[in-house]
Amino acid sequence: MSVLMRRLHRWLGLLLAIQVLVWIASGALISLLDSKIASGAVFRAGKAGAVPLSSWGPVVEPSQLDIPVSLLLKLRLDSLQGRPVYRVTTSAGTRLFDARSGRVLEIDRPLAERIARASYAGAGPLAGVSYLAEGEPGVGGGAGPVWRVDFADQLETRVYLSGSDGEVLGHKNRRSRLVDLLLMLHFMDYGQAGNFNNPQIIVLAFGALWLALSGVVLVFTSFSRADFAALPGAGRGVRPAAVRVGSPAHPPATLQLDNRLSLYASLAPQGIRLPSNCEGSGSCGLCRIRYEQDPPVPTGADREWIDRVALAVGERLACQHRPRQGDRLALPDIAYQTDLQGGVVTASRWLTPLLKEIRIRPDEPVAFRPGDYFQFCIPPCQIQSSDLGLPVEFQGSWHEIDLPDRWASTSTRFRAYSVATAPGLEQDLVFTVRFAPPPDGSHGVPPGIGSSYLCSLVAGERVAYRGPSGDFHLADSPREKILIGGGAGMAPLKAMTQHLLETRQWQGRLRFWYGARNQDEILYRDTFEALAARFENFEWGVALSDAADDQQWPGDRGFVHRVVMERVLQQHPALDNCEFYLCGPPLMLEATRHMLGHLGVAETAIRFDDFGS
Amino acid sequence: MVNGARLSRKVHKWLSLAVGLQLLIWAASGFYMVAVRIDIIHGDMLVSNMATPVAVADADGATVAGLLQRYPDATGITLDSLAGEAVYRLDTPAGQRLVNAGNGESLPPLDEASALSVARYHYADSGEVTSVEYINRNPPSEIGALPLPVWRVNFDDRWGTSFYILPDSGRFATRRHTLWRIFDFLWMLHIMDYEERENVNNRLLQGVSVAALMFAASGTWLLLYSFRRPRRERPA
Repeated sequence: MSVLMRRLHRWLGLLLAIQVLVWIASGALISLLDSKIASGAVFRAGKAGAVPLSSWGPVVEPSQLDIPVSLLLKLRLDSLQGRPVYRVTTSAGTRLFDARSGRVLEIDRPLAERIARASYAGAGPLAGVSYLAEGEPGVGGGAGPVWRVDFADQLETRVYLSGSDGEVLGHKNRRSRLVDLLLMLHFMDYGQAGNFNNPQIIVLAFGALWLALSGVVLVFTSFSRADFAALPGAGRGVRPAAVRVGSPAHPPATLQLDNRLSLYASLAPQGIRLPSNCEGSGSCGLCRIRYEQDPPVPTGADREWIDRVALAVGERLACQHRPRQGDRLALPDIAYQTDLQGGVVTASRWLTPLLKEIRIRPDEPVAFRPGDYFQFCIPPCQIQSSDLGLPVEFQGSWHEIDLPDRWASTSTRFRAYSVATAPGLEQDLVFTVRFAPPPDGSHGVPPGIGSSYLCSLVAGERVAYRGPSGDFHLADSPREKILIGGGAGMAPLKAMTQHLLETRQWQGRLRFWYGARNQDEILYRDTFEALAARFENFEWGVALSDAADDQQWPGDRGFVHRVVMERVLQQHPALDNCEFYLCGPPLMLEATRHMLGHLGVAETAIRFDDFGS
Repeated sequence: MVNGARLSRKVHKWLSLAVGLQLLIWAASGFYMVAVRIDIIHGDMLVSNMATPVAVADADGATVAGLLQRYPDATGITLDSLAGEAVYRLDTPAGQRLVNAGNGESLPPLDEASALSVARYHYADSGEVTSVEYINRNPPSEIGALPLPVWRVNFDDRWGTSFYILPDSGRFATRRHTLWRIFDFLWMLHIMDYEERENVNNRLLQGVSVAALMFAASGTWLLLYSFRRPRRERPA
């Protein structure tokens, strides 16, 4: 829900930004300008004491006026500038008659001037009288002829009179003309119709309503209790929740957790640190825990990161839920590791223009499972591009990357990386780190600090980490295993492949299909080709998505999920006897999971791990 | 180096607490006011006979000269239609006087039955009159600056129609119905003048609209950073 709302808010904001700014700015200005002046009527004279009609002497009867009687709607005997007048309204409009002579009275220039002067209380001299046969927008309905009488005061007052009966239609001045302009912008009424029910404003106002609605929803999801922790009185009303917490290696213990914070944040002061790359904002999916009973309703972030099978057994993200009295939680062991382990970098080399392999010799041997990750401690550091040690042959690919001169981090963070080798196979832990360049076209935004730091390490330097941890593991079953990966999603799949073939001498069918853009990006090509030659039960396939011009490439082209579909799944005799292991960029994962769902593969047969690219 | 993405996000997020609700109110009330046509708001479909011809010949029984003799201090005389009958309406220092234009007889202020017939004459929908009220103090806020006393005639149609008729002049002064009442209420919320519903220069509106302008500016600024690919590092 909040993901959808954020997207809606962002796109509506982009579409409506200018008009929303115009609405608020014009509204604010109208509110700030003094409406007494802006009404135009500052110099409008009050009504002079009306003259008794009997003082004018005899008048003609209405029946003697030359009017189309059948169309008469209204008739009024009144006084105007020293004479009695009849204002006669028919369906054709209003006309003026001299009530003593019974003749039509035209509003000529001198009369217009006298009427205007009488309605004007300012000190400015008369500056001009003009007849506007077409009328004036925004005056007296905008149709029909009007007289405009200008006065040379500091507000440039103009008096408008009806051309047909001399009625004062209104005063305008410099300020009211500005307000008219602001109202035109506020109402998006660019014609002369004075119409705020126009289609353009209805459409945009509808969009703005959704912009505001999504914004209000986001207010609720964007704030956490922690945002208000500094406020006085924020500590009141804290009711610690007693929660029973344990992990496979740590027997359950009851902890008193601050129920104003998320589980992720409230466990930290107890010395229990769940892994996270996003410090608890729901955008990395690492802080997974399992409710042993009564799991809360999953949030949007839960659904985004955790598959349905795991959701059903109570797995949730700890950053999405608050401690509740009586909760029983199963945590990964890594959360209890307060002491960091250490190791020495033994080698590092760029495998592709953006991927660097880093080998680390742990001080103490560590046991891990294929698919596990370690969390590296990224200390405060300062990086410049020369620290990355990019070899000459890859520098061409970096021309488009807009790197700052140097970039830095001032706090300690943790970033998780999967191990790219099988346990026991090598002395070193091997990682493939994808350098996260600044987003396209974002001048001055630094690259990802975690990958920058790790890519800057050279042999001999020490690193600190904790782990292992993870939930992306091989099932212990004889079923055929199909691994589909892309980009840096190689790491855990490589560990699984090597573990099955080399360590366990597994005899079942194993396939690994890897997607890359071009030949340069095929990771560990030699390793896998050698494995495929050595083990008959292993199939290694590569699909290149961006190799249309590459005459040298003999293999498959296209997105890896499509190629797997055509080459393996379509003619597979027993899909329901296969397990799938997916790891790669979000779009690849989404497309692959969608395809497998379409083929009727059960969700329990699919395991995946995703990562941002 | 100032981190624009972070600063704009922070400003936008915290200002949203101050102005978010009012912006929703502005958007919702604004949408209503532009989406429902103003002639519907004004209830044009509820009224008829608003401009019926009035024959001068009808007025023979009462000449203007005669009226001026009877009311020498009248400052204006209007020949108009009252529920289809020609009447003269005289403005005098003591208020408006009503005269039958056919026979020149003075008409007393409208009683309940006359007010009802005026209301029925102008009513264009199919409802029945449910009640008639004579209001001479504590007028409902929806009639604003109308002079008192006034007759209010309520109909039982789906619009919740009320007609207001001035007894002294016989004038059908105004009407209200649910959509118009909603409009008035939303207008009050839109301009944040919760008492008189007319002062757009109130301090509250000025303060909130300036804050909202900063809020919208921060949102626009934030847009510059919002369409980049998310940068996440994940186990791989």
